[in-house]
Amino acid sequence: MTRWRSLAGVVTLLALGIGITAWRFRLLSPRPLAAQVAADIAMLTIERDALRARLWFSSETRGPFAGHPQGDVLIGVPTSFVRSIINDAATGWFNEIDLHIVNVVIHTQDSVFATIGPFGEHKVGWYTLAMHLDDIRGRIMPGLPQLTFGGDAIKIALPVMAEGKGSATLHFTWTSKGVARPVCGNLKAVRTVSGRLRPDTAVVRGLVRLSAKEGALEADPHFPNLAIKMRIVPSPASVAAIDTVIHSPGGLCGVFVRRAHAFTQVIDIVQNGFIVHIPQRFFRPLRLPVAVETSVPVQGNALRLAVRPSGLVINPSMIWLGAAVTAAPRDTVHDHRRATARARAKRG
Amino acid sequence: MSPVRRTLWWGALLGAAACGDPRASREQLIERGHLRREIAGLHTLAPLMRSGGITDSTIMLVSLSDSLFRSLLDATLPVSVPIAAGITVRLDRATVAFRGNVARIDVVGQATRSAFPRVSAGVHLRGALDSLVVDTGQVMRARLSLDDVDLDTTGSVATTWRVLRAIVRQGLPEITAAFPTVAVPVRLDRAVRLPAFGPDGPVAVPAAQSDVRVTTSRVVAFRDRLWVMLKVSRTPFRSVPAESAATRNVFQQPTAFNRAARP
Repeated sequence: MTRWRSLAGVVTLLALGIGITAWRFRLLSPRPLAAQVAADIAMLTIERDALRARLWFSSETRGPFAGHPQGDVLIGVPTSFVRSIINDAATGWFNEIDLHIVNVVIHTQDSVFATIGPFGEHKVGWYTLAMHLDDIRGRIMPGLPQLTFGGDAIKIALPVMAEGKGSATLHFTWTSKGVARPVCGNLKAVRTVSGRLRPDTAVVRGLVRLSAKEGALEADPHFPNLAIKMRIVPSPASVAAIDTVIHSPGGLCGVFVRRAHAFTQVIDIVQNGFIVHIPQRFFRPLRLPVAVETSVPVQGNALRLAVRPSGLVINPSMIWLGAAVTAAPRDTVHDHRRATARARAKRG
Repeated sequence: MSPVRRTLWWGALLGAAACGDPRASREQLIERGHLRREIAGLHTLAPLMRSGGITDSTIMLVSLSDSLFRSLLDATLPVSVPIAAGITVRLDRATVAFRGNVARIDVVGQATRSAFPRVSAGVHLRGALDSLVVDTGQVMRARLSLDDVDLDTTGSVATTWRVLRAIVRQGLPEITAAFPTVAVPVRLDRAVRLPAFGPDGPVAVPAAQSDVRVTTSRVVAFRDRLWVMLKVSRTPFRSVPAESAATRNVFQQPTAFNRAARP
């Protein structure tokens, strides 16, 4: 009896053991052992940390992310890209600048002296020349700019050339004086002349300052006291007309005027031309095509963001703009929704 | 050895065989998976870090911290998505981690069936950044995708939460589709403009414009930040009428983000 009981016990225990084993290995499925996974995790953590440290060091010293400022939002623009835009913009600022000059008067006058036999040198008269630039139309054309990066500014040296043409009215007056008065008398002559702008090249110098403004990278040009000299080349017909007018006093007076080189002086005056001042307000700031926004659309509404510049870093390869950005609390979105709804209701 | 004692020995041996060497927990397996993905991601970043900066003048960088991204993502929540069997999944809060070239998104919320039999359980959805696209309104948007779900089993009948989990898992495409995109607060203009000037005295300048085209070329998650590399190209400046210095609409295809490395 005892033997039977023992046998039954063994059978029961065996069945129990098999059952437990079967249940235990039911979970065998794909799950590995905890110890093995823990060892894997430990090894992978070491590998991950080493790799991470190496890459973090690399990213600090080289690579595309090196040298950036702090901030929630960073914008990195390659220096070469900025250079190309400023290059084009500088050219653009001076590209096809239309000049239209009307009613500008260039005025000159001089006295003429002559040696009159035993009387010695005497003033025989004076002439005045007023050139009314009636209508000069010109255009400034830029050359290839030279840019020099330094600090937060880019220095620019840009050759510019003007071309154009126009017409003017010459008012010539000869007034005799002293012994010449009875012989020569006075003379007034008016002639219309034409000419073109001499294609001289002037170098315009200025700088472009880079700054962070309203979340954007802005290039602000500075060309203080910029003045470009325009020289006039009178047409051959005009030269002939000036010659005719100046030499119109005949006889002895004509000799006096010729001796005074009045013609050369007048031509010099015309050729010296005039100065066009280009005001600083002409140069508007330029915004690069990427900026940090102060709000973002969220499910049909706008989520306002507080944007505070956190740094502008200019390094040889990249210009970085950083901004600390904080999203307004969620209530603000709801307020904004209500405000939008109220505004819509007001608009009817 | 008596039969009883022998029986006890055998029992103890079998018991030890059945109960020894515990199996790995789900959390351990998830952690190991994350580590493997992060290491793989870091390996893909190594060549990029070895390069001496961006020499391509057409590549611009935009970077976002994970904390800002999380606030922007949080602002889009809560979102309720009805799925099958009268169950609604409400997504409440999100966390993000941008590491090792993996942009991981975790979202917690609640799955509820309000009709009889009423069921409710906390849900934990895992996903990743799917793609970035610059839309027609000059806004860069991040699309997210959710691809795994866990349910809070506390106080639930096992069978009930298994059924619920299966339904929520099947509803993941609908939840992903309903999940709002996250607008990145960076404006990408389609043109650089030089405004017209004058006539002011003798000077007058027409407006000029250079059209800009921006496409996302690569997205990298590294050091708790998302780095977006943008390929930028532009046309030379040309004169445009001042009043119509408008921009062309430039559409672009979304750039997939590290699909293979999604958790």
